[in-house]
Amino acid sequence: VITIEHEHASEHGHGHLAHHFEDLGQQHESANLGMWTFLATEVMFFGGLFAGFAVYRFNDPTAFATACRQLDIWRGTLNTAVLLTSSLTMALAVRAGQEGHAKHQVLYLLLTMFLATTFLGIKATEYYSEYKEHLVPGPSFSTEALQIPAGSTPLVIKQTELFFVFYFFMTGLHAFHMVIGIGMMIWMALLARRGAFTRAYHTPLELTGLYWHFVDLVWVFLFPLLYLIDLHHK
Amino acid sequence: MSELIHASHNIEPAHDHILPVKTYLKVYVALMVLLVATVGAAFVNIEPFNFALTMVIAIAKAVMILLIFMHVR
Repeated sequence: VITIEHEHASEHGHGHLAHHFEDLGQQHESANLGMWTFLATEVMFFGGLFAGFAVYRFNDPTAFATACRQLDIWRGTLNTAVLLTSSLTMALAVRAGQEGHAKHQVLYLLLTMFLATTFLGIKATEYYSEYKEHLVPGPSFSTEALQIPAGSTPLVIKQTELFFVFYFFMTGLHAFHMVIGIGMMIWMALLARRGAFTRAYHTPLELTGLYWHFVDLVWVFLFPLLYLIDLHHK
Repeated sequence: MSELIHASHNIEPAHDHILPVKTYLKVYVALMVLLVATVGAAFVNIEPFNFALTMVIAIAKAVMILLIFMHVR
């Protein structure tokens, strides 16, 4: 009798209710609060890097402006478009969750994963170009590819390398978040295929969506700060 | 006991207001327009306002993502 009751309950999402919650509504609120709390810590994590970038750009504007011009704006723009599109398909995957439409959940998750992988592929080609130009900080770093203004002090020349430390660390950390996001999407797609997400219960899909949009948000600031703001700086 | 627990369950979860697909598409188009705008503006020398304009556009994009894609309201 208990088994039958349980099966019946899971149709309404009851099977997903952990024993320490009153009801699905409360469980959903708690899970959401947990994800937003995590995202707040992520804002602080990336925020520290953005603050450090701001400080050193303020200290050595010429070095940062010279270095940033060596980035490929077109591949950066294309990648931004790809990532914004992946946020749309993720929003539609969550919407399919709200509707309890399993096929659409899987379809939109697959599309999002495809776009995410495309982003990482394009990013990899950028990294490779920069590697070939000796722009990766370390023993092989060289300012040969950069158009350093005549009469620059050795410190300015040295600080161009720091720009690339920020560039590789911040975009690398962002890419790492995307890899984790793809892993979460694979997990969600497998659950969705089994029909785990219904109108009544689709919290994990929703939280994966929040995480993905956050990764998109980070890039919305990362792209202009690294690629765009200093094109006209003297 | 089992009945008691079930009685306290709220079978209907907090109602999701499902946004129309059109809303998501409109936000997407707006995000793309802003992307083109921010890249275009980067090539025009309006110093010292390049940074401010770029940030205004980035914040506008972020607000749209938060309000519609992340359902913050």
